Amino acid sequence: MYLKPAPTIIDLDQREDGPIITSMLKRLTGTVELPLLLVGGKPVGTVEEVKALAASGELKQMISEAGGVVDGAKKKGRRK
Amino acid sequence: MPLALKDAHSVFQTIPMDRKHSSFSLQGPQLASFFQQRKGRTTVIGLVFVVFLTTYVFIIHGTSFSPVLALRQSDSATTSQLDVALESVQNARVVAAIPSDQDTAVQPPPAPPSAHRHGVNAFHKSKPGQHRQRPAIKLTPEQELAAISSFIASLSHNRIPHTVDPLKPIDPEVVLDFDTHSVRAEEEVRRLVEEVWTLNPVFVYSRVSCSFHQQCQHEVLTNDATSALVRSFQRSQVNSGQFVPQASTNNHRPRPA
Repeated sequence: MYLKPAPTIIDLDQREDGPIITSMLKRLTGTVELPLLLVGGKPVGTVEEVKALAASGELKQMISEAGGVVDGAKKKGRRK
Repeated sequence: MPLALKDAHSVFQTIPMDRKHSSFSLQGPQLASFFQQRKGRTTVIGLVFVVFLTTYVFIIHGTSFSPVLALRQSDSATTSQLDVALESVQNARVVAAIPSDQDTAVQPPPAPPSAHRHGVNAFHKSKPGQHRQRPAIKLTPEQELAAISSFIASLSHNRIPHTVDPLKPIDPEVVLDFDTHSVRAEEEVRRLVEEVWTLNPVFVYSRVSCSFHQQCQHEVLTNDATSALVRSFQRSQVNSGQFVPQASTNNHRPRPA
């Protein structure tokens, strides 16, 4: 149920240097679309690619290999 | 009989007979009479001098007698001196290897100061006059992405200066909090790359307008993590549309198609 560590999300339109960072990301990753998903420092790709990876279970594996824990911990129910 | 023995004998004669067998426990009058003797005073003064000298030697040079203490005291100083010597030798080799016409080309442009995770001013990390000859490290695109991501994620108020040209490789001193001219800079960069993606295995650059943050946070906690990530990702893209560079103060900004 959980993704640990929690995804680090940078909202570029809330930053003064957002335009500079987006230009840098375009140069460094070759990606022209936002949001940009990086797993273990590597851009995963477009939404279609991300969906395909998730459907095949490869995304989960990529996150696990990068050190993330997917669905590792579960909330304990309250005792009645 | 030698003079010293004679004096000692005379001192001994002054002590009463009942006290002779316990002469080590001298009483006040006996002690006073002992001090009145010239040789006795000299002996005591000499003894005190020896005690003071021994104490002084142990205090000043005591660490050299103990190997552990000596190591503790001299370890950091020796290491730093060795590092400085090693770096100066390697800097000298670098200067000798770089032709004079390239010497000016490798000098990075002056970068504005920047704070990093510990609030350390990276610009002031390198001491003036130190490592001046050694060129700064050059980051690969992967390393640059990691350095920028680390810089942004480490402190919320970290900002890329407006003077930075996004179309050119960034000056490492802007985003790194260590001396980029150092011999150990390459190793530090490798460690940083490893660390940033270990701490942030899933890193998303997004926009608030596509509300990725809220969706992701909500769905990751309630549904399957990867499915939530994909759904949030998909909705974000639908909302935000294709990326077009926005208004920038930089003159090298590409014109939107």
